[in-house]
Amino acid sequence: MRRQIAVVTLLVVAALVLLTSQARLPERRAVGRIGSMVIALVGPVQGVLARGADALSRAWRLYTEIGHLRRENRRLNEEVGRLSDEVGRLREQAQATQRLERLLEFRRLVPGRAVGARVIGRDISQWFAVILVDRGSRDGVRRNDTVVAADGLVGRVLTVTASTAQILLITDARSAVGAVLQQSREAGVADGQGQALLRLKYLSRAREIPMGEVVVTSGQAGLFPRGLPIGTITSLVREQGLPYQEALVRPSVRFDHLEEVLILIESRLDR
Amino acid sequence: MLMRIALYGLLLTAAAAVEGAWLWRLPLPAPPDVLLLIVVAAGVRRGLETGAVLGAAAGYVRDLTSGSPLGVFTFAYLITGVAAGSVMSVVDFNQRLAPALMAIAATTLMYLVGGALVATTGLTSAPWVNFLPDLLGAAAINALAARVVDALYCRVEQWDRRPFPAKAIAYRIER
Repeated sequence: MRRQIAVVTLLVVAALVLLTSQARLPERRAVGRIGSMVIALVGPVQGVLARGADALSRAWRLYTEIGHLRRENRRLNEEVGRLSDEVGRLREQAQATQRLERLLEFRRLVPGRAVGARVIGRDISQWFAVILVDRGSRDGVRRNDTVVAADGLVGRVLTVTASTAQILLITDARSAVGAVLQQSREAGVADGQGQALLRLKYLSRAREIPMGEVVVTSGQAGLFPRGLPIGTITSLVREQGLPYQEALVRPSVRFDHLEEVLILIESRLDR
Repeated sequence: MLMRIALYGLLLTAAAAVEGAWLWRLPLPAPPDVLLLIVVAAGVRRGLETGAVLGAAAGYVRDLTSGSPLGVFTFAYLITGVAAGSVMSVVDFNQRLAPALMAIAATTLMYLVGGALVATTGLTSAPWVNFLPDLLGAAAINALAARVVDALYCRVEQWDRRPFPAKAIAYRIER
């Protein structure tokens, strides 16, 4: 009995020491040698399992969609028959132009070198928003590197092993991003809340902020490059007695459908 | 002893990898928490000490692989392991419904301890938003998966108890 009490007490103290040693700052999260070994062991296994699951999922989707594809194909064939060649050609051209414009615009926003990465895992808890990708220090990825998707900012690198990296999403409650409203140039801080929406703080009360205004990174702290889309304003929060107002922001990236990301490995100003 | 440590380490690592790579893809309200179910099975079947040690180890692995602040799940799983171990003498885990009921109790305890911890330390701003629906979903899924994970745990225990030393002794006596 004494031995049990001693073991439990020791473990509780160790857990509390572990918890308090890094407080609320993700920058101080040091996993140590044993932790790195565990992550290095789990990461590649997870990668292999994820690839297997992807292949199975693709095969299953293909199987279940055959009927749907047949119907869709018939409908599309009829539609193609109805439309004149000229309208079809113009539509194709317009779509291609839109896609290229979007790509060019985004590439212009991204400074330095970037590596593409696949999402191979994610945290299942409701409190933290972290994903695991299949790129690591071997590919040049370093801690605090900015991570983006085609629609905008995803987050930053939290932990790196040789072959994997954990990404702290901007929706995580530990995340804070220097932000600015694209039209009015009003500056603030976009805080994650552990939920789908971000909270944009420290906006001047004197300004009228329109719904749907786009929020981008300000680049002020030197952590993220400036001008990356974060999201759009969905509602305003004005509390009595506070000198500033706040806004809720819907991220432009759909984190639940994130499959590939881009890690900007030479974007930080302090390199 | 070394064999047991290796088997438990392997079991926890495999569970963490499967959770991170496969289980979150399932179209369920919450994926089954295999690590927690292993801790419950170990605690109820082997007692408080094993529950505590395995709880702390599983929580640490969860902290490492999920990117959460180190210590959050270590502490929450440790408390759950201790609680599971402390009811060893009053729970017959071989009863049909026992694993499911213990899974519901353990999930509730883990959510309460974890939620209280992140709320107290300010690690997340609103841990109680959607708390009840999330908890109910997770408890139900864990209850369904508890028997399977318990069977897996028992299989690993059987591996640990393979009668190699006894055979060796018998061989010597015969000669």
